[in-house]
Amino acid sequence: MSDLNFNYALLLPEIILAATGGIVLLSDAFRRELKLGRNMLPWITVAGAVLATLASVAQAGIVEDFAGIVLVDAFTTFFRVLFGLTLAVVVIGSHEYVAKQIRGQGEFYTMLLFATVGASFMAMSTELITAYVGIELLSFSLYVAVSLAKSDPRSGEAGLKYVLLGGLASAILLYGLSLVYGAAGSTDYATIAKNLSEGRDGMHAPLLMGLTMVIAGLGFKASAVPFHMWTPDAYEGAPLPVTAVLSATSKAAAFAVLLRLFGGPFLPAIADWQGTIAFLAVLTMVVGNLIAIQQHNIKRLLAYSSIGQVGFMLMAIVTISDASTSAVLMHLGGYLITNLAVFMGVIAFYNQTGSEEIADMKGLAETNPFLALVIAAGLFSLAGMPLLAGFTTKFILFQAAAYGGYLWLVGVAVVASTVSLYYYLMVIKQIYVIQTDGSLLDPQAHDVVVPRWRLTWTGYLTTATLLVAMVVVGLWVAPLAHAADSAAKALFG
Amino acid sequence: MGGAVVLNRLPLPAQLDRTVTTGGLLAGAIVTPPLIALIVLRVLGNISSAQMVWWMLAGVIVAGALGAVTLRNVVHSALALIAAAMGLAGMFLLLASEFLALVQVLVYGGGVAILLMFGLMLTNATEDPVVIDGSQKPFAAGVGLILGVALTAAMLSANWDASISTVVDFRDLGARLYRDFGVPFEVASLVLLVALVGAVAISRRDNDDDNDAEAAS
Amino acid sequence: MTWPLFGMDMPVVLDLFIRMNIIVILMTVMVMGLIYIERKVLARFQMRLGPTRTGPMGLLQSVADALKLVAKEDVRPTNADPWVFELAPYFVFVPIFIGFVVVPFASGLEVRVLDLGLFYLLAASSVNLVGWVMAGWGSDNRYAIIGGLRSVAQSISYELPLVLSLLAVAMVADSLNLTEIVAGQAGAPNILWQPMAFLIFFIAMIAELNRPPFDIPVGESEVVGGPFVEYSGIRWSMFFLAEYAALFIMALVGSAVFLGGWAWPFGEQLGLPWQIVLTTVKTSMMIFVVFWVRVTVPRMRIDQLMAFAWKLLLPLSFAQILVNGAVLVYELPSGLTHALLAGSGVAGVFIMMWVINRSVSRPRPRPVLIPRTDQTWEATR
Repeated sequence: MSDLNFNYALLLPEIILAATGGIVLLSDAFRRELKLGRNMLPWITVAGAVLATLASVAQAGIVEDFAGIVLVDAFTTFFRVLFGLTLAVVVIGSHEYVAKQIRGQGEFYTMLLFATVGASFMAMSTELITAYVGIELLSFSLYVAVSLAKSDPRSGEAGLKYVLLGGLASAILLYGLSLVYGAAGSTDYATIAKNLSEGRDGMHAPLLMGLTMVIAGLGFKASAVPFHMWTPDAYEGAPLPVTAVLSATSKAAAFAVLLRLFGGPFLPAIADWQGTIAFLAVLTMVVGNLIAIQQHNIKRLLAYSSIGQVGFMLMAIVTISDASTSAVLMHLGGYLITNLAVFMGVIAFYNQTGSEEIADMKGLAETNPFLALVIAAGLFSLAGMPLLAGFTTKFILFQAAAYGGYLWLVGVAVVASTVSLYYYLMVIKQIYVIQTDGSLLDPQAHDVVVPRWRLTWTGYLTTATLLVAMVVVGLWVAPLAHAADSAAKALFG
Repeated sequence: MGGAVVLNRLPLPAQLDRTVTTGGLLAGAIVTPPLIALIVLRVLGNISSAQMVWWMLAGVIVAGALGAVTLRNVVHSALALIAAAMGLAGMFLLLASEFLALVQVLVYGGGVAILLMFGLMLTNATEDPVVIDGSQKPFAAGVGLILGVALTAAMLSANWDASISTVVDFRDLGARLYRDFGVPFEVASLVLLVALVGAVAISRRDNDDDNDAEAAS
Repeated sequence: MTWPLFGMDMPVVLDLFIRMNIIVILMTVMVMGLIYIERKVLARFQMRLGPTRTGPMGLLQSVADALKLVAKEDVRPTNADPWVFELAPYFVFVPIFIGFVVVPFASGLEVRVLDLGLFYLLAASSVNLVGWVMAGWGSDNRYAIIGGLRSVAQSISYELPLVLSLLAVAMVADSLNLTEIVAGQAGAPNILWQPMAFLIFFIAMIAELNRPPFDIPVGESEVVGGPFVEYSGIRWSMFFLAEYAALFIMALVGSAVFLGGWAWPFGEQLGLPWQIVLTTVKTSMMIFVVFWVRVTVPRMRIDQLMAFAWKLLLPLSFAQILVNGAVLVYELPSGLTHALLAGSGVAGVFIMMWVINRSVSRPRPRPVLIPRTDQTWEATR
């Protein structure tokens, strides 16, 4: 008998989420017998997400491992709260969309819940197998969720591409992990770190191959260039809420694994991977932001913009340290809020107009000024405009990278960030400058009366909350910084 | 050609026709020399029995994997995949992990490969399913070659530990799997659940009774 | 390396060779006997005589059949896939043959004792599905393909309850070693503690063997023999051989795992002949019941078949495993443990009976077949 700690309460948030998934699935299947409408499903999901978030907040002070496999600490809690709130916001903001556009609502919400469970395990595992299985749970759930759009052929295509390429990436990742296991002699993070820092003769080549393959596999999950090819297609084909989850939960979870791996077990071998990741970061920033310029579809635009953001965040992995981890966690927080705000805005826009084209956003400032404000603020924040979350967190991220000694990388990032402003402004131009009839705005003409439309109350709730959060984080960053700091400290001891 | 004519004239049973006979002879001609070489090496004492079996299994695995990739007929590819999986099971036996070998046979030989063929037969049973290659094939081959060479070089240059030939009691294996590694095991069960639910949700037709949402609410 | 056989030390290769040969001969003879007995039993149930003319009481009928099959021309359809078609019989036959390695006929009378014997048997016999699929696909015949598909669907569905019910017993016996499981039943057979597992095993076994009422893959009136339509002569007889050998091995395993094999009720001291008699009697009982079920119960429909496996057998066998785990992990006093196990098993049997009875006696709307535009057919409510 081993003396492992089996305190099941540590896994409470994940258990709640998974159980909610089961409840949603069953109450969808037996809704006739239970006399439940399908409109109950999102609220069950939200309740599960909120409960799980509360449970993880309740465990905020704990540092305890479960059977040496998962670790509950400030880092875990940070991501659990992030994932839980993301799920709640996405579900609240998109339940009208889901009711109209998704086949198999019960399955859809279940997939989102299970994806969150997988993301949580990615963030909390201190052991390679668990991390890998968590990645697979997240990916599998999203493969399914991507293909669930009703009567949209792009959805099936996106699902197929995502599944094939994702399967390949998983295989590469697994091969890499097995090589790392062979070179380091353990799947436990702490033991890997110990064995790698001691070093063994003749194991350098397999370790290098293993690390490269791990970077490729995780790079796919985080959609870093050159492993980004699936991103725009999957984002475009996926139903909007799934695109939101893909760009939020999936990305954050990939970074959680990257931070846990490269900040812990792989840190002794930093010379072997630093250059590779720096190269990836440059490539990702440049390619993501340049290709985004040509996009006509708001989802594709956001896909490339998110690739660009991944490039910025990869800088923190290159210069990994206490400070840069804290910075990247903060940027993840700010990016998630901003990105969700944009996506909730786009979902509300789609619910009204049924279009995802940037060109169709013309005159939105006339027809729905509030939504126009939310989307514009979100895009400005993504670009890194002051007063908004994006500016503060991006500034801290660049600062951390600069202090880490990679000034040239920051230079590239600043240029790329400037480029990104261009395509964000293209959207904002459609919204504010072009009128609904396609002509340029004429401030003197007041005779044009455009019918206005309103959001649903859930639409107002989510967009307004996220807008406020964006401004609050932009102006008063201390709480987020505090949380990110303690999470980073938990990682680096 | 002359041989073929004679073969067709002979009053042989139908199964001994040209395809099967020449194919069988060809396969035999390819397989026999290495086998003889291995056995000779074994008799001369240059390699141990385990090494001899290892080389045989390696041959089966590589041949099966190559067949799975290169054969034109998809069902033949699936069968080659089964051969590779079986060879892998033999490798596990060679490593004295009986349990893994049996799981490999049960899951890959009896389950995955069967479902694969099941799927192939269901989707394209009317005519021979044939693989169509894209224009990227040379690039893929190149990348595969580079990766293979790099991996082989890395493996060969590595200084692996001496092999450990202790047999792990399957009770210990069970305890490790279900208690110590209970968490990934449970998460893996969620993965399977997702796969199952997802397969049903995706393959189900669009016209599921969605309109009862209004009726029930 | 030597191994004892019949009191002599033999080189391991020779020993294996002799044992396997004994198995092959035993299996072939046994199959011919089984076919004869099946025909006689069937005839008795249907109030006719069965084979009478070949030899005394028709005893040589199977020999005559075998001779005919061997002498018959072996035909392959022109469009059949030569490799898949030709190799399929071996894939059906060999896995079953390999399974005999671990079957304990009597104390010390088995080819090898493996620690994972039961698991080995299941793993080996699961491969024979490949042969069914190959036969179905390689024949280039619609009936064969449909039969192959049905056989795969059915076998994969029923493999789970089969494995789980055996697992439940393995938990109680605390071993996967078939010889140990049998030896541990000297006092009482496992069927007393796991009646439901036995029932599930028996049903799943019939389904795995594709015997009536689960003979959907080979149903003559629907798919004219399923995957074997195009086979004739020696290849067809190999399928036949495999079918009956599988019946034999499953009955042997069932009698060993549930009915105490050679150990119950007399224990080990009774000597080899009596042990063999015990094994034979129990196995024959199992086989007889299989024949009996065959003549009594009509064939099921494929949806009934699937629903039965997934909605009834599988949950119940999972429940049994959960109960077993909960009871065994707390190391209660032996009497209480056994009472709980037996009680849960009996309760499970009653639940199963109740569910079956309810679904059988419920008035059921007939499925209506509606042609759909995309040429698929599906039952609607």
